[in-house]
Amino acid sequence: MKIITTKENLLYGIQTVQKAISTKNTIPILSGILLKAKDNRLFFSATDLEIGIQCSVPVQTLSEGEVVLPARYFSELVRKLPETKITLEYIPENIEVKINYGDAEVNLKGWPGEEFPVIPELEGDYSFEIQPILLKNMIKQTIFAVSIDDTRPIFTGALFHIEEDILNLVTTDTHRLAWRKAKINLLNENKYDLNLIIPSKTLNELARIIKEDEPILVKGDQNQISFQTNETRIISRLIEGKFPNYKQVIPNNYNGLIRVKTKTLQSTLERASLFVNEKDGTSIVKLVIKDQTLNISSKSDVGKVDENIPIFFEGQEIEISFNAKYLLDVLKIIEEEDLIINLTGSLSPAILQTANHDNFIYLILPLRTSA
Amino acid sequence: MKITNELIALEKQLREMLEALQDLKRKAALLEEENERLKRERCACSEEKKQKVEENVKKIQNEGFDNLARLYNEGFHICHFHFGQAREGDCLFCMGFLRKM
Repeated sequence: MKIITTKENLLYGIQTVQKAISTKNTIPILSGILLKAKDNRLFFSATDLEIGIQCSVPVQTLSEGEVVLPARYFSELVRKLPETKITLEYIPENIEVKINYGDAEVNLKGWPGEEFPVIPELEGDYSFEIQPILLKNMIKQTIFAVSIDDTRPIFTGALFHIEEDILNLVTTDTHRLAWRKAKINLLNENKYDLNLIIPSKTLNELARIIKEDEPILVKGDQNQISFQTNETRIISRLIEGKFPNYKQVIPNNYNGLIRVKTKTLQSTLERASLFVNEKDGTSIVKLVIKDQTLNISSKSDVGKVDENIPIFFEGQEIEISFNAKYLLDVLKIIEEEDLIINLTGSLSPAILQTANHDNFIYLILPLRTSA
Repeated sequence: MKITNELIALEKQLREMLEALQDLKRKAALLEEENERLKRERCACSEEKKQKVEENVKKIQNEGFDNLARLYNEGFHICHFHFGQAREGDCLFCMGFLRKM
């Protein structure tokens, strides 16, 4: 393999695949990046066997071939290279790559490309297309509600519930639930009713690296899923298990409706959340809704906040407490000016929705407070 | 002669089979009648009996609900994902389950 390329292209490739590089030392070759030169493109691949990422950049190929280079050294080296023409040549006798830039030369030992595990091409029981901006937004609007508790793996991922041509993306840590739905473009006549649980790491990576404007092709089976565009492909295992019926937890009856300015509420909550409980680090905010005013207060040993916000309110007077972080997480991702909060009681879930769209629902459980 | 004998034997067999079939038909008709009668009898439960059964079902359900609600309030999950495990804070799925009961 011999190619001529630029620092920018090499960096792009490394940064795209770097999160899939294994950090465990059990299989040394997985700590490397597979470089494969073919048809004037350089393909980068990395996998930790849970997730695999591939991408390609245009290069001048003098001879085709493949090699695996240790990611740590290769990425550090590329970052420190000058902005000049870079030549990479694989020397099979020494299993090393000769990197030339200007008058200089670096030799970096690697592994033969054939020894790197193949990242499979999925045939797919299902396949659909979705716009990258839409999918990125859907991930952004839900991913913060996944659980970080590894003892309950299904909640560390996001549910893709595909009902015919609607994709429901649902995450929960059992105290709150985020649900975003959108229309997808099915690529065959099948009527789907699929439940797939995708690791949050996969979705975070997807949101980070998908930049292209063309639709993302999603396909897979019950064990693996792949997301691909012309230049990039992510393949991931799915989390085994049955995701709970999320529709069942959405209350049907409300006894209070608040309409409030999103940013006003966010600013107030940010101030109130400064007063954190020293014991467990949670910041509890108390909301008192009376007439057309929302009173928000919080206190700790350090101090207290007490603010009133004008709102539109229909329903019975209510006092309700929340974990401020759970409220702020959702307010940060809502771009609409007005927010609707439906209340079902001081101990039952509150439902947050934007005023103009019904494609996003956020459910949050109040906290029981002794005071 | 041999063929004639065989034909006579076959005719006899067929007649016996026909008789067996007719006998089965009669039995099937009797069973159907009995089934209909039993169905009618089952539907014709007295109001008193029905009420008793319904009350009993309600009582069992209430007891079940009370037991689950108590278990939840004592700090345990009652949703089927983590049933019996200690919970930290409220759980949407436990509460959803209690609401549906």
